[in-house]
Amino acid sequence: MSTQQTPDGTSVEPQPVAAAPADANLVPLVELAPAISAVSVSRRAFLGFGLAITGGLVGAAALGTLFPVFAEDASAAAPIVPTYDPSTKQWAFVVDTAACIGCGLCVAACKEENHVPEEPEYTRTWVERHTVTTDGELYVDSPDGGINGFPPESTAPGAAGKPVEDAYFMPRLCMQCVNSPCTAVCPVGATYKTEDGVILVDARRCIGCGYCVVACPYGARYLVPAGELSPSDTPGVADKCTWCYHRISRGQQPACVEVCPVGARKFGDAADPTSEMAVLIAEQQPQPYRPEYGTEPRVLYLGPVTTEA
Amino acid sequence: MKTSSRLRRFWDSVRPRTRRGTFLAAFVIAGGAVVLSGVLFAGAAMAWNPYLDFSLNRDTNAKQWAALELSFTSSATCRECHETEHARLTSATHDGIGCQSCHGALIEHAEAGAKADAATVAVAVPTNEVCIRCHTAAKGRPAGFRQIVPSQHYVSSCLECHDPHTGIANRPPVVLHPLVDLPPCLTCHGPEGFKARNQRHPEGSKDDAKCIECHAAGRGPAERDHDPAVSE
Repeated sequence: MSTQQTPDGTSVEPQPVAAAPADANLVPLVELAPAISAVSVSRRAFLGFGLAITGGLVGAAALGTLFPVFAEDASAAAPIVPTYDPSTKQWAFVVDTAACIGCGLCVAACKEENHVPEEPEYTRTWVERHTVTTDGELYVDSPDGGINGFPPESTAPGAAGKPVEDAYFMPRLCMQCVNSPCTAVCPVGATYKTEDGVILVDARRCIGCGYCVVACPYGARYLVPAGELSPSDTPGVADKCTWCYHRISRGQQPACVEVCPVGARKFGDAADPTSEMAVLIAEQQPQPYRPEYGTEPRVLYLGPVTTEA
Repeated sequence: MKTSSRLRRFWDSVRPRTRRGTFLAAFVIAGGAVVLSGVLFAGAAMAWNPYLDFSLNRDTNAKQWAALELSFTSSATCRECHETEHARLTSATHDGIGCQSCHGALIEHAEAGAKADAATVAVAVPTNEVCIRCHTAAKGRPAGFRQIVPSQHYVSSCLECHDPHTGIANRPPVVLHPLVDLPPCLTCHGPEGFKARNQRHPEGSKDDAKCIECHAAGRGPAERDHDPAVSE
């Protein structure tokens, strides 16, 4: 471009570029020459430097392989589940309250599989008995979380002696909510959602504040007490059902599903439209428990509990 | 050429020749050393202390959860060796029950594979408690699910009469009367009769004198020559 147009249409002669340095901070190359030559090296020395640096990097890489101090964690699961790709799964869990017989084998199996503390108040899953008496009252009992099964009559206070209209068992566990309050309230981001929809707790980050325990409307969380048994080997952190993440990532069913004698607990991949789970959800339309909480649970229920008032 | 003189010549070729060059070189070397030591220190600290894992990659933790060891195996794994039991189980009412529902966690047994035997990895024979856990009558169990009242049921060992794998084959008839004041025989050999021959029939109890008068223990006439026993 040799001329410039001004807004009124007249042309302006291009100004010659100033020969003198416009910026006083710019030092002419000529003046820098001594400094450059002061640190300049011969081509041979330069190549030698390059060779030495390359050799150093190769050596460091070799040392890093021998002593993997920078590796993430040598005991991580890479060699055990190399084929598991969470992004391809959308796990779902269906509980049939019409089928459950209240044996409590699921509760016992969960504790054994996940090293959950033995005391009944610490539990990842439990079974409730909902008893509706003829006067319309709903009584819920869950002796020791149902781990030893249930006595013939409801043990809920006030239920004794009342004529029963309807009674059924309701297995409970973490709902793995899509819209999860626990992950929302965690102040340190310790609890999080994986791509396949499971909510986990990172014991390295959890500070044990208990916010998530009280935030969960389903009461599915607890704080691991000091003691021998601890699911993540870290007493003091929050813990909850992981849908047996170590089992499902190996292609197995969660322990509670594995031992359920009547098929009241069903687990599968809803992302695969041909899977049993997807067909079950489409055909039987299981419902979330307490949908008014607005958390969009991934655990869905069939049977009498879905019509509970 | 000697090594020392080569080094001297090398140094002569690279050494700073002005004060400015000296400062520049010193700055570059010192700065590099500071950066390098910082990187090394952070790396060593992270390797030593997991709480200094600044990575935002959640995959690390998910992998730790995924790497936990199993206690329970799968029934499909059991079937690989125990096809007979599987066939019997799927033939009757206990079809669908996982092996470990009654036998307990079996991962060690499964991992021992063909080497597994009673001496190395024992598999528990279920006790009465395992049966009663499901089959005791209790409010809340689905209608149609088989339930017993243990105090009104002949119980010495469940497996004496019941085959847990085929379930229904040796099932005694439904008890129509309470055991009170009646011989235990009648628990099984009740009004409906119980004809199936049971290889594991217990020796006749001494309490059953009333029955044994006519029926020797474990034998006896197949035909009833008296009215059906009913209570009340």
